Amino acid sequence: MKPDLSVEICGLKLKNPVMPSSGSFGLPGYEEYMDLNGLGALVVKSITLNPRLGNPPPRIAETTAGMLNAVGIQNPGVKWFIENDLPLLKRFTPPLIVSIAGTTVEEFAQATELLEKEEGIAAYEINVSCPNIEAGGRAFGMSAAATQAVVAAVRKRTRRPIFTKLTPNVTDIVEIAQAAVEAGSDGLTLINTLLGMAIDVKLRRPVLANVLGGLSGPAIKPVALRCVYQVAQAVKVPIIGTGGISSATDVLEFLLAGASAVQVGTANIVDPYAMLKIIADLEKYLAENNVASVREYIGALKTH
Amino acid sequence: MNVSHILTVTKNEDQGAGYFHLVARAPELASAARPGQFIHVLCAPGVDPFLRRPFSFYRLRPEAGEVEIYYQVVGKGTHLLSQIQPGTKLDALGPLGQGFPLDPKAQRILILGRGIGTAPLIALAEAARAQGTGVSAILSARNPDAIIGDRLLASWGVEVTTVTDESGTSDPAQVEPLLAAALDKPGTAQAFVCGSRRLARLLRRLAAARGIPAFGSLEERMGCGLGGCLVCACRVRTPEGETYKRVCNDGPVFPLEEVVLG
Repeated sequence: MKPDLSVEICGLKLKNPVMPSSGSFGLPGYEEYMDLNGLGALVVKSITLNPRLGNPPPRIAETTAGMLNAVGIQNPGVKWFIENDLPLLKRFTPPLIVSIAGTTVEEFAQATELLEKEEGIAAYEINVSCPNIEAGGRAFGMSAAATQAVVAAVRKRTRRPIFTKLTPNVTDIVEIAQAAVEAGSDGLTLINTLLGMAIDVKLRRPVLANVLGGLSGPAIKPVALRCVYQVAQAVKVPIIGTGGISSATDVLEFLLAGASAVQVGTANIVDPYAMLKIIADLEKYLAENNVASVREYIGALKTH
Repeated sequence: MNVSHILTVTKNEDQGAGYFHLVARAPELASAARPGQFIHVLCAPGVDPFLRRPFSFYRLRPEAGEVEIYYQVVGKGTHLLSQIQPGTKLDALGPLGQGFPLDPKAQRILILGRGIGTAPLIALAEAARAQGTGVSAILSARNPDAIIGDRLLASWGVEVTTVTDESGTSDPAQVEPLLAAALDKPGTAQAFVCGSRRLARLLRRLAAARGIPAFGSLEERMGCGLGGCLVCACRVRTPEGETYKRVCNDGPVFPLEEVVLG
């Protein structure tokens, strides 16, 4: 019998628990290379109220088992997104999750208001955790009060599910997670990139023009797993786990730690077909191990 | 379109000056690709190095089912690639990017290459010769050993001018009269540059003065190669002001009048 890969998260029915992390996968764009309907959900790159130019290059630095990026939320703005990208993205069957970013609470609120008028959006991901949007790697998600203010502002303007994406660059991620949930976040996405840097010794300069960037890839998987585990112990809302996932067993590790679904990010940058391979491997793994449903793994970690 | 390919390396030879010439069997890729496009290669299995490396095509030989790249060993990825033996399988994405917009009716084109940046211009020159278009070539490098493709070009009847740092002939001020004379050859309809921002700026100025469309193939640190991650940003001028385009997907070939050559 074919194992059941489907999961449900905040009312979103996913045919499998695997979706791209925001900004790692061209949406729209990659429909040219593969069938996007095989994915559990579609998550777009963060949209801001106004267009953002992004940071100067170099925007990427290779690291051991990972990479740093400092793109700086380059995007055409919410109006352009609604007019140009949304009509294309609505044609696909997986639920569409629109990621919203901003530099003020008001920007998050106004972007949400504009998106609210549109059909075809299943949920929002609130990106309070990008380290490349403000100088010095600051982010709303580094403060419980600021996180709460952003989530509350978005909550007031939508009945669609909200996933707040948190940063690991904090002393206590549980405190921030609780603040987001109290402000009305229906679910959480854990984690965004780790603030980092790379230096070119020959040039005596930072590799990234932005100096600081966000570390992602297999190198951060243990940190991401730890965050998902800690937060899952403390809050009742569903969690989307992300951080260094590149195989089917990575997916199961995140589900065991307490996630209900996962996002694949940096693995897409190395191989655009990574998610489709992971989904196929997941089905194979469950079949070989006589597991009827992937849901059996969610929060099933044995710690005794 | 599936852009994932497994290539079989048939040759991977040290050419001196830190350059290697790699030939791989990949019939589908060889048929689909155009000059100026590139492949995005996993240089070694595992996570170190972590990212792919982009290489423009040096030659496309669909009749033989082969593609060729010419690369310079500069870091871990290209070092590991240089160690690969014939028979090895390579994981590559391609063909990626927008190729050179070679005018099928061009009577003559000019190519201006520096160092390893000459590689994609060789594929372009081969396509131009195949359609009966004349080619003028100016090739620049540190020293004569670091000039690539000159013999191949000569075998196609291309008149090649070489300039080098070693002989003190490669400075833009000295290249300027050579380039002007080449652009002034009757019938020169397009000009193409790769491998030097200084030469690109020079070509942009001289070509614009003559009303000749000029194009450059650009380089930037790259992530996905498919236009999804936005890391390989190239600053361009548009009617609405300056913005960033993606080297991998909007380029790597851009009209020189559009790009900001810092």
